Amino acid sequence: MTPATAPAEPTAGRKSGDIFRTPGWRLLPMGLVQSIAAVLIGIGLCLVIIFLIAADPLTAFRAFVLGTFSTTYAFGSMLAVATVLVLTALAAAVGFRAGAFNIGTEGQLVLGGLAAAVTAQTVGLGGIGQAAALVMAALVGALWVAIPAWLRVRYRTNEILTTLMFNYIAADLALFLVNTWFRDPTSGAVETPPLDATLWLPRLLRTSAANIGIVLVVLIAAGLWVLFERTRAGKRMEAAGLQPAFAEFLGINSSRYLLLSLLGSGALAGLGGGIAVLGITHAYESGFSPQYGFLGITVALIGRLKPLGILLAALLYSSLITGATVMQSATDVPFSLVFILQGVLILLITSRRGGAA
Amino acid sequence: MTIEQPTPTAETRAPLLRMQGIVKRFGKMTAVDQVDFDVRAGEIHALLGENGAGKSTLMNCLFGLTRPDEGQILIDGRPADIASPREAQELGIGMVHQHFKLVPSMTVAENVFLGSEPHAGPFLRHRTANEDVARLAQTYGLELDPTDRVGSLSVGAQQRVEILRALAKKVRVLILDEPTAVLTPAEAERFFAVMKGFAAQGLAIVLISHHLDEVRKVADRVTVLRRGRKVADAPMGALTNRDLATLIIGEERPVLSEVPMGAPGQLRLEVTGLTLRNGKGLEIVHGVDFSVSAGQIVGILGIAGNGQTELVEALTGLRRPSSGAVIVNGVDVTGRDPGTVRRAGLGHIPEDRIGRGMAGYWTVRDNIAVGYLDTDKVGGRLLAHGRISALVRGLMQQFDVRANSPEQLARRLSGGNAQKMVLARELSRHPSVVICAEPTRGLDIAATDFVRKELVAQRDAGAAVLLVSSEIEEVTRIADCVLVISSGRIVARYEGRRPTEAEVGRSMLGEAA
Repeated sequence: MTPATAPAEPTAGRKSGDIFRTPGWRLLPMGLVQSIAAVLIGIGLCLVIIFLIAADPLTAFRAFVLGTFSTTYAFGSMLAVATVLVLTALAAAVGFRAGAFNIGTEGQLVLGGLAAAVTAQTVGLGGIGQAAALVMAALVGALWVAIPAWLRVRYRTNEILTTLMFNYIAADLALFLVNTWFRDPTSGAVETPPLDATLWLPRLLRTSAANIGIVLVVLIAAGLWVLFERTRAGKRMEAAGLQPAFAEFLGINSSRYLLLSLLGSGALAGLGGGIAVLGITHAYESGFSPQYGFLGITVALIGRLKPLGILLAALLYSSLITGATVMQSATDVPFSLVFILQGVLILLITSRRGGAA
Repeated sequence: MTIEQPTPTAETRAPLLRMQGIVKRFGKMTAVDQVDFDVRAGEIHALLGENGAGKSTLMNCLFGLTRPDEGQILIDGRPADIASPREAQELGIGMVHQHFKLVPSMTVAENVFLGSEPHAGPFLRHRTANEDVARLAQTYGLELDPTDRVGSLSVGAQQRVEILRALAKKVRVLILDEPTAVLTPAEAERFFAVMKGFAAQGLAIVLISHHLDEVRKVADRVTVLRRGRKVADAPMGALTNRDLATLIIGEERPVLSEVPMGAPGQLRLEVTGLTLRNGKGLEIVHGVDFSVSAGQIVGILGIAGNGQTELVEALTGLRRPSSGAVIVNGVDVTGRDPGTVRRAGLGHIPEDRIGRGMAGYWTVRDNIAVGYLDTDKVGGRLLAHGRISALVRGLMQQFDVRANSPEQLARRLSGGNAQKMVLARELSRHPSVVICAEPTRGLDIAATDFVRKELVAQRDAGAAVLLVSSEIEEVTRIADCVLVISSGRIVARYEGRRPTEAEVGRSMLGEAA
């Protein structure tokens, strides 16, 4: 009857389909209750596993839950690990909020750590060396995510895949760099020469790894809280992450926020590497990260992408990691229990009543 | 599939399906209260009511999505206990939802047989599936190619796939939930013919709709629900539209009586020679010229898909024109970004309310406040929660946005409240130019009225309003100047008077004005 044919560009096709394009943190359920419940269920499940496999369940049990608080050393390790986890979790949260899954925090952290070690060694002793090392760590972290970020913004390349793959490139690149130029010739392991003690981040508890980095990290978390909750830029970033079409409609440049957020995310992860090297290992060692990057994603989810939540979740999670370490040395239950816990937590936290929406 | 013989005496037959004394409570709220409902083979039975009147809940009881607290359902006089959609389908009940549940990357046939694919052992029989779908489509007069990918189909065709999926399951009772909400008027017309064909073949059809005119065209009988109770059950011919409106909203319909013509002032929006191409490089809008003045509503009326969506995108900075100019308040904003166009004084009520007009996973509060981020009403250097709350509460009241609290997620709002929330954000800052596209699509009568009144109020306050709509009644009622768009050209202009619906109807269909 009329030339009223279908619109030339069916919008349905554009909107549907690609599950990876669901803005990241929409996957998160809203409730605090769910985070707490997930943690309780996760720990409960760990206890069941301990009970099933341990020769002496009660000892293992006590080590896992209370091991962190058994010695100053363990407590200090917990704080040191938490410091790094907060950074990688904040890194994940910054990406999620702008609508991107930065799964590459592990790689950014590793290269950031290497950059910190090398810079500290090159620039000189004391505060200047430390500052330069941390700045360089953040820069290198940002640089490492820049390529996936640019691909995402320019060509809509799926950043989940690219950042994930960049982890493996980062690991091998670090190996190559250390072996070729930066290796400690006196050591049998793949590591850089030990840093001068003046370059170490000052310790908080004697004999333990807890260090001044924790103050820096709390300040960063506070700064991000202000950014997320109290600034216009934070709200715009949130809109861009939640619904790019809405953000565009409002005149918000989603791509810019996405790019900046990913760069910020990479910088935080890189800084995490710097703090781990300057504060814990005091040299770049191959394998210095017990998967801080991936653990940070879990922590970010438990903390519901909120800075305060992330601080608490990081403390909780690192006490479980420390507990698992204590448990491994005291009993026959392996550290890998933590990875089971991690998997269970991610499943519980990202699941929703009623299934696929 | 079963194709029953048409029965000329549908009215005299015993009901195929009867629901008796259905009660459904959600907590303290009674969503459906002692409702009787029946439908006969060969009959189209319309179910009317405002949003929240209980239509969907009643039908969900029937389709096994929820279970009634009281009452029973009889099919062919035998009591049926329907615990799940699967059981409903086994009993011959099919439902086509307003929001399609299709897999875009699969073909039409694959979607139709999803979950019940014809197979030989472990192997799928694609050819059988395609042939079955082709036959089914032909039987029911649904134009579809079984091998097309669903993602590449128009919305109307996707709906036909959804219907075919219901029909493939030996359906006897077909529930259609607002089937025309997503269709262009031409597609809707085609759909009505199809629906009548189904009835002629002996299907019992339940039609849920907001549109009285549509219902009048196709339905044999009508049931009206109001606040969970049945307030009418009568043959269609026995009730006028006015009766129905009264029954639906429970009082005399607050008809937006004669809106006085506006008094145009200064030129606010000027569009000259605007030409647009779509993604494939085809020209879809051909050199359109018009202007809107302060205190004037200009209506652009056209059947959806004639270039108006793209036109609005170009005016609001969402699409770059290939030539021509857009001038807002004397500022040339051609091809500029949406932010620049907004700053030039433009408010936009988008056609895609859910996708563009709001963030469903944001609170009502954030959805409104985000429109004020460039002002000090949301705080100084940092955002101030007190100020935001005061602002949002005031606007929710002013625009009658009914939510449990400002913290409610926007996606939980009804269509009308969602649109009022968009209005609250877009219109409360008194933009000098307002562009709105299909502002009342999918809204109930009360919300529709609210939106239209608000547009007139904006005009009277001195805004230049551009109303782009496919609803003849809407445009001819409130616009001071009507432009008819067809195939990307303005084919008729009515200035200084309001044309009759028949006049514009003819030009929309491409006849000479």
